[in-house]
Amino acid sequence: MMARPVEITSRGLRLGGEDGEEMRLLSGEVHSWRLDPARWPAVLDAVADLGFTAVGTYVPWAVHEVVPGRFDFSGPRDVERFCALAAERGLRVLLRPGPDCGGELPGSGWPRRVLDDPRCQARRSNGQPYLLASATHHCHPPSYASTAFLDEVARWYDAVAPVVARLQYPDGPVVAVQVDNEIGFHFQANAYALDYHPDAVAGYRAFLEARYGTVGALNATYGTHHARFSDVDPPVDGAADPDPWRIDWVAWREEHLRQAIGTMAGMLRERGVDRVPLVHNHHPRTEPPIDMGAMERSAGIDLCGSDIYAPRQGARAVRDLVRHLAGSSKLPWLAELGAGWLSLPWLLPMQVTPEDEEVAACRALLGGLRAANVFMLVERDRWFASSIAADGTPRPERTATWRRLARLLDELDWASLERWAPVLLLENRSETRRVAARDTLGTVVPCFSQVMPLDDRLTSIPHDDTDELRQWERGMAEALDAAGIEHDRATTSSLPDLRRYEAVLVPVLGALDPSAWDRLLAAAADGVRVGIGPRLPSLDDLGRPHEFPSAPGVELLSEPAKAAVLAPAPPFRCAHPAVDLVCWSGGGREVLVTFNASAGTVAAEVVFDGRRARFEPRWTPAPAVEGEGSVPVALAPWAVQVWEVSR
Amino acid sequence: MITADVRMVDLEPEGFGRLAAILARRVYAPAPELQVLHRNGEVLAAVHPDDGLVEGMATRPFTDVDRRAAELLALTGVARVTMLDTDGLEDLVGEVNELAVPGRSQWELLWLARELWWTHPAVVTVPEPPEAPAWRRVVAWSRRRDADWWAVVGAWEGDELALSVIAHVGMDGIDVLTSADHFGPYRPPRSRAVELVERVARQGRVGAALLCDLADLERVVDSADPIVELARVVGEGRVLHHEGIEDLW
Repeated sequence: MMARPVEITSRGLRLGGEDGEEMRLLSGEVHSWRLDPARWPAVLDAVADLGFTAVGTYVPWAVHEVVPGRFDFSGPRDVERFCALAAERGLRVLLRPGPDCGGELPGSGWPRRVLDDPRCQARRSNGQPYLLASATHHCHPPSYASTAFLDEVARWYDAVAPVVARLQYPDGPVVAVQVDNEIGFHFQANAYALDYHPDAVAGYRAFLEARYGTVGALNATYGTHHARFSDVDPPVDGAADPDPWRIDWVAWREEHLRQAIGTMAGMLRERGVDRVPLVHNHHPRTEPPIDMGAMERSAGIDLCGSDIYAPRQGARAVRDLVRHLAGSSKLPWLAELGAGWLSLPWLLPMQVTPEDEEVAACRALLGGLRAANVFMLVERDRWFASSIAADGTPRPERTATWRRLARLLDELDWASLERWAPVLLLENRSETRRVAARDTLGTVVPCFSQVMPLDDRLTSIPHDDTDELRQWERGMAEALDAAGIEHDRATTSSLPDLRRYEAVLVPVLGALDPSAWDRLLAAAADGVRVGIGPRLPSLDDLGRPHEFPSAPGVELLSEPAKAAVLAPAPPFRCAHPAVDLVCWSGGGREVLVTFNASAGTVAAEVVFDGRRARFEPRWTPAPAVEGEGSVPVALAPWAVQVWEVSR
Repeated sequence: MITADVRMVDLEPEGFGRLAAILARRVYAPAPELQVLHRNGEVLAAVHPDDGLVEGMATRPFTDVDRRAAELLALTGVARVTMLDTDGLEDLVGEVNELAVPGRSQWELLWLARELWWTHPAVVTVPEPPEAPAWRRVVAWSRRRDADWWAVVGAWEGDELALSVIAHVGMDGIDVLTSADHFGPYRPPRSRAVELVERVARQGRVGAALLCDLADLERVVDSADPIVELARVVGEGRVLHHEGIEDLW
């Protein structure tokens, strides 16, 4: 396949071929249609002045389709003019034409007539549409399997794709296009809530046929007597000991998301959006039905990232999501790195101060993330506390973080540094699908507890296996963190190249995909230390007894705490439980980032090998410290410090 | 009360965040509640706020749902016991769906859904369900007025205007939600608080205003009945300025 003019690299984008321009992808979200077009120049000036390399914007279907079948791209909807102004300022553009946009739009960007069309609506197993509480207005969101809905999407793409295509690099500033937004059954993870639209059920049956080949093979697995695949009805509720029928349904839901994104990606490519990468963003969930690695590799897109909005107390959630992106994607990227917050105090009240944004941004961009889109960098309707006001006036107390980060990334040549993360911690997707298959109350579970205050713990059938799995997942992660061993995360259903790591860990109660086992054995044969526990696998991904090849290189851990034993010693360590360290190196340089993940002031020691070293602070002004074997560090509550280390 | 296409612009970066933090205490208030999921007296699961899923008395079959709820309340010491009939819950979900008519705002949907929850036959709770929230009285009060007026809320911390929320009420309800920032950079000190109302009045009629100390605003929002608490705060002379709100209580 010929290389496109814009390609994704492990550090950002490359424009113009092998010897082309290397571009750091640090963009800020600006909703052009929500601003006075006369203010666009001032707004874009302010964005460029902060060191951002690009802007991102939705191109919402419901905004541009002014009457059914007629689309307006003029005035505040003039995407081409907005992009031209961005280009004049050296800014590239990430366009997000949906069909879903979110963005606190009344119908999430889907036109009301589409949402109200029963043929398009996602369905619960009892046929009811699903109620999604969203910005100021609720809706019955669509089924991404519905042919009626996808036909409507095609008509929208007929209108918007030519506009987008004209703007693609090198003829225009658009360097990436996002397909849809946060696909994932409308944030509803319950396995039996969605989607039972007839077209989705037809897709499920096609999935089974592709998997089993013959209905006889399916019957042998399920213990059933179906005459044909079209006779197989999906499960509608969970079971304590999930059977292959339910596990297949859980797996289908993951595949359904990939098929939907792949279909829409194909539509865009067919309509001329073929010179830039196509990307997608998940909401911050890594377990079923989400599989970021598989989405990136098999859904017809080039990059899958995620979104996160976190105050300072959520810094470790940011850390863990970045670890997952680092293990699952070729370019760890947040399509939405939260800045400010939506103005819906009656639904999701959250306060975001400048300090909160500094903590989250640093935890992400200095902790392993390589690219980000700050959402919202520029204020607009239904959003507050952005760094730049709607008229382009910067708010210094908030822009300071972005300005300092952009400068630091340049001064330290961050792209040349590698993060020390020698361990990969895997989610065992065969086990987590079994957990998902224990969900219940799919016809009742609400989108948010504010709609119905049903205790979430009632919506899953309890089982000792679920508790044991969580204990091992948590225990392995805690063991690594306690030992100061930074790590990546991924899932067994979309394994990265395991030879990148010195150790790979995966919790196994009994079930494991045999193909994942083969990959683990191959890695072990190549010298990777592979640790599993509490048991060797004996069941395949459907829970059927399976003979797994013996594992001479695989170590069976007796307890999760042993996970750290397999890992190499970190170059820098800190015993304080509130302090996280991320070590970077490259070109003979060492940079250490320390994060205080607590509300208290921390006085701790950073320990390293015996040579004398000098730690020069590069984030918060402070005196340098020196020591042989250790240096004292003092961190204010939630504080970040970046140290350039010379030995 | 709030239109579906309400514009929310020029909200204070810090002030609106403080309001969100105050409201978060109410939205996410700890509610030590035991929920029991059953089908016609056969218990499927019971979840305790602290202990998670529990067994024992909470999961024994019963014939009298009201009596069982009262027994569990006395036994467990939680603040509330709620018995949920799983078959009836499906009906409840259907009825919530019917509340989701196009002209209804998110805010109203959430409150109506909560009222439906506490009154639906599938849900039996002890003690008595929470009283009807203040919003119904606020909606009724606002509908007694003509359209096209501004409502102003300002709260001071020391001498500084800590937060302001200013709403324009049109024909169908609140169609603009904004703050003092929308009316210019000047933020009056506590001693001249009423100037905030005067600045808004230059743009249109002010139909209601409440200017107070932040601590008093928090007290009102945190209380079990905000309107009763507001009446008390006003009656005690603690507000800096008020107008147009006396018929709220």
